[in-house]
Amino acid sequence: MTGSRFSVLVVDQNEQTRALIEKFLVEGFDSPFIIHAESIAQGKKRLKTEETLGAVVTGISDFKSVEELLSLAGNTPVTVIAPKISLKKSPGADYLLLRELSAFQLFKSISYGVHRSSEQERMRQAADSNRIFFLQSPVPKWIYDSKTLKFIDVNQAAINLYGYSREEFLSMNLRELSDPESASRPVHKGITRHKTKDGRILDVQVDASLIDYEGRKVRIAVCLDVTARLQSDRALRANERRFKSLIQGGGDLITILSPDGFIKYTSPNHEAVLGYKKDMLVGQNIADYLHPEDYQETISLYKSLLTKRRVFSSVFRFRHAKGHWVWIESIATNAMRDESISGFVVNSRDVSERIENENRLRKSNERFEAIVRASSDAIYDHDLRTRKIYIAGASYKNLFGYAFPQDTTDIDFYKSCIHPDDRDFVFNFLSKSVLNPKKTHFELEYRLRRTDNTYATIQDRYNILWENGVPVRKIGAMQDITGRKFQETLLAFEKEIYELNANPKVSFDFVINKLTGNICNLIPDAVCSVASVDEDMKMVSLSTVSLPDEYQIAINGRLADSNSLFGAAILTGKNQFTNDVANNPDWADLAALIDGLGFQSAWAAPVKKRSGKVIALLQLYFGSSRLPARDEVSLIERITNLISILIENRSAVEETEAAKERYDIVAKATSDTIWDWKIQEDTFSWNKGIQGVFGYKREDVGNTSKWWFDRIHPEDSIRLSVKLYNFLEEKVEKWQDEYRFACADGTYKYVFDRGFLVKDKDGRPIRMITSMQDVTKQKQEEQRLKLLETVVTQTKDSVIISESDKSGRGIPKIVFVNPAFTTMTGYKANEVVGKSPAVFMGRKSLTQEIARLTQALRNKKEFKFETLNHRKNGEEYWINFSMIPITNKEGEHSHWISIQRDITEEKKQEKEKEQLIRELTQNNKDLKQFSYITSHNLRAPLSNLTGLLNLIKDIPVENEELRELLNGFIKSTNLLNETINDLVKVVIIKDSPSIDKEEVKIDEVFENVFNQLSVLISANKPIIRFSFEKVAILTINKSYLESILLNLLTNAIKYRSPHRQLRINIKTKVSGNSLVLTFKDNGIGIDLKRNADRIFGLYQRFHDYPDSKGLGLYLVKSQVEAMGGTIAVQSEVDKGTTFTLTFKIK
Amino acid sequence: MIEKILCVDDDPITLMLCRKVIEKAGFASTTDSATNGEDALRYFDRLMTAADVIRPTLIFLDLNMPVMGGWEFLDHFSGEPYKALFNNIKVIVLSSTIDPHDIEKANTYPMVLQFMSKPITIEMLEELKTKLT
Repeated sequence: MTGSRFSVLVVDQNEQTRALIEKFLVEGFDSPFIIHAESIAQGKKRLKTEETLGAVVTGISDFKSVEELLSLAGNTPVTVIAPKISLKKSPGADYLLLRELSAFQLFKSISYGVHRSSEQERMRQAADSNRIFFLQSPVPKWIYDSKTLKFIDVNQAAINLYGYSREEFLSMNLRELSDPESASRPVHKGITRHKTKDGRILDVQVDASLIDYEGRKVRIAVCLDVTARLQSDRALRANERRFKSLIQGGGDLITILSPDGFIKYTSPNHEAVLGYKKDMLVGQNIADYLHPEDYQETISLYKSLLTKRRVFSSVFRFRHAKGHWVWIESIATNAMRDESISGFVVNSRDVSERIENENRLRKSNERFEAIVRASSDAIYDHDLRTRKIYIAGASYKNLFGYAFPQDTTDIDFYKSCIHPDDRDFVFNFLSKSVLNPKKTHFELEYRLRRTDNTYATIQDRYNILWENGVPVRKIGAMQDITGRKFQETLLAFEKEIYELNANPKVSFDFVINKLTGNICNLIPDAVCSVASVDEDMKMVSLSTVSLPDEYQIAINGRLADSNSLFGAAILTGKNQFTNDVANNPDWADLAALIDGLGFQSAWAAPVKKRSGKVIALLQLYFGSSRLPARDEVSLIERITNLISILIENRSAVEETEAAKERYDIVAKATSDTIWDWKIQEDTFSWNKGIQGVFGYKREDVGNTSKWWFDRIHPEDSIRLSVKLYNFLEEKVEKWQDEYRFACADGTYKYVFDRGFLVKDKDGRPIRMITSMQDVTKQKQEEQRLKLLETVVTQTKDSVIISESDKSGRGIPKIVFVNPAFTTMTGYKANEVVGKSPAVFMGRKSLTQEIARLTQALRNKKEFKFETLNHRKNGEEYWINFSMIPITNKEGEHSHWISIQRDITEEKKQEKEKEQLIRELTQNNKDLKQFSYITSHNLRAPLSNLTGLLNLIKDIPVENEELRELLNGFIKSTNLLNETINDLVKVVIIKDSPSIDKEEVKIDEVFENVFNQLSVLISANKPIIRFSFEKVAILTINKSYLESILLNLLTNAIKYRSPHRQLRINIKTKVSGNSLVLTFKDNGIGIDLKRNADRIFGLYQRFHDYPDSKGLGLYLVKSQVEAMGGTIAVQSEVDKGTTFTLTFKIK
Repeated sequence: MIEKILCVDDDPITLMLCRKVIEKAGFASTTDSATNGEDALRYFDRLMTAADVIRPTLIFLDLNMPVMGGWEFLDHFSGEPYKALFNNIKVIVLSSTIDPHDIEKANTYPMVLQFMSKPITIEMLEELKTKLT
């Protein structure tokens, strides 16, 4: 070792031996610095104080002494000069026989020792760097004992993820980390659930490989947190399930297995997914199709179905008909009890794509880790005094490409290699590290130039050796951490992209742009773009920012020519590179495409699906001539994998979105109100129905089950909660209930609510989705119908509903009779239903109406008749029978409703009435006849008397007394005659139902009347005033009108006031359809207060006048009324009387 | 002046009154009488066989009579054999009835010239006289 003096501690009591050793040392080494120790104790002391010992040589060779020296020597090699070969040797030391000792022997021993210890240091440091990689990895990792499962080490990422401190971890085993509810035993490989310190459940994918570590079997595990991804998967599945439950149908493979694994049924889609034609699998045992690695687990899982209702498998491989393996994920349900199945129903889906992607990613990770691990450190020894740097081993050359003559260089060269940006930082750091002798170990990172002028990032760990208070040497190990740095950057980049992609709010465009941006950072000077590729090799640009717009426009929708760079990448599925676009004849079209953009090199990398199908293309351009380095090829591979996963994840997300959307569409399209209850969290979500149907405002709708339950009518809530409880406890399969649910305005609506459960993989209900149908109208209709039914059943009338006869014979068949029918006819419902109404209608009853009935039946017209019918016991009764035709919705006649009313009693009463009328009419006739006969018989002798007296008038009577007697006789006879005539008039008027009417002019009638009364008028000289409106014409009986006016005028004159001139006012007035005649005088009047009700009575007299008979006004009233008129009177004593007569004109 | 009148009435006083008034009014030369419808039919039966006897030109007929009333008489008299032999004899219904139907009914017989209300008076006959001529 040049550059500084090699110091050696020589321990020996024997002066000779010591001198011999020293002599050989001086021979072998370039002026070694020799320190003497005369005893073990002294040697130990020197070992403690001397820090830069290059070797120890001792002549004291007993085991104990050697061990004591070794314990203090550390890395310093110890050579023992033994007088004889001892059986008990310390393994840490090199033994030489004293008698064989030579300078060469000693040099060799010490050199080997030094070399060995530096080798050991390197090993230690390599182990250290692996550990650092383990500890620094952003992926959670741990090491645990494969038997006890106790953790041996964990990295920071695991600590961050789980929340346990390192100490806590090291006191735990893997079992304690597993979520006991989802996994019965810890999983070494595959997806499982872990629990963090704060109780969160994580979905993790673990992959633990078995290695030998310090003589025991341990597992080193990589653990990926896939919670978010699985949640998206689960959301998709939950939505799909929900959707399927709502819509029906599905794409799962459905297989039915016997309990011992024989396939009993396969759904038709097995052919598409697994390649087996119809029924090819039936009768086979599933065990023969499972991948050997998955066999045990899958079989035991199915076996557990014998005790469980449902199990969810982790993914397993199933052999495709063509021999390759298809990754399957399944849910198996025990349906042994279902007789139609009596086996296990397995719903499976193909998840190969997902698994393959995961594997690809993991493999590329592993490769990078291997690269990092393979790198070894460059060891150097920098003599601070000589400024010379000694390089140990070939690592430096490997790392940086420099071959140094004699493995030596100097500080200036070193300085020139440091990246200019880092140079000041590095030298500042170095100058500080030689200030404090207490602190001797340092570490720093900086960039160092390689021979190819690229820079490697290195980690430089060194120790400063002090000698007599002066820093003399710097011994260090440089590790190329370019790969690790790159790896870290890449991991961070991937992590960022994954995080972005997992965030549904971030658009795919943004993620792709971010990705292309990052690629440009990872591959210096690169400009890049990603385009999707479809079956027709049509490209659509996915990224929009790295390349100029004109490039994006040119690439968008471009069909990749099979002879182009892109086409080649797509068709071969292999990367294509050119570092001279302009002059490469194969890619002439590309040159045209990027003309003017200044690119010289172009790389095209296909993005492939698991199936190998190219779905996108990564394009990289460089302004300089550039072909990818080996690690850049790996990087590109890694990036294309990432893009593939992104696109597929995105399509998974889109699928989720689509399923959600489908569900939302269903939810929207339905008029039902849908609620979705997440049972564990007790969150309730509603679709718009809650607003539309029940009138709640969006902000008023609660999100708990309580809100829902509180709105159930109190009378329904207990029954409902019992049913719901049974449902949730799975005592019943389906839930449906009808209840009243409150609207926003406090009224209730009847709803029909149907629901199903969504269960987790352990069969626990986690979600309940129902659809509520507003059945208020049906319910009201139902109640109305019940009410109507009550009317039909309770009415006393017999009701029959009969079906229209389609045979055309027109005789309907009875389909319903009400209880009143039985009461009325004596026939029970079952005796008549299905038969014709003729059953209870006597033939006799029908004959008289038969023609009308037939006609009505044929024409479907309503009809009615009354008939005498017979009860079952023969009793007669009258019915009023009506039949009403009923039409259905299409307007076709469908039924007859017939109502029969028992009118026997009415008929009886009617008969009695008729009898009474007949009798009364007869009586009346008899009476009239009697009155005619009476008046005839009265008038006959009276007319004789009158006739006789008329003859007597002409015979002169001499005797005075006889003449007086005859005069009295004549007067009495005349009076009797008048009375009889008046009475006869009354009788005749009362008996004239039809009187002759003719058109008369009132003024003419008056003239006639005045003529008849001329004597009376001229004697009394009344002032008579007429006021006739127009000339009124009445259609009336002329003689009656004469009689009326005669009577009224006579009365006016007869009952005039003796104290004043008689004035009579006669007026007519047309009022509407009537003619009003008023007859007013200023005579003595009648006291109406006393006599109002008698004034028009027969033989009523109000004044003691000699010729008053009390018949006049009776007659007037009778005549007025006989002509359909009315008469009214107003009168005041000693003032006058007014009669108002009203006749109908026409 | 009318040569002969037949008065049919069951009341002898009415018959007497008729004869007197006819006589006084100089309405007819001879007044025969019958006491009811049947009596009157027998009277005409006799006239059928006695060709030389003067036949009445006019009949004063009462309605209410025993054995056969005025209506029954009219029914018989307007039928054969009387119709053919005595079709130019007119009838005056002379009654004290007030039944309007009687007056209407009287006018349905073509041979009935008029319905007159009792008592018969000279004025009535004078009026009739002018009507007949």
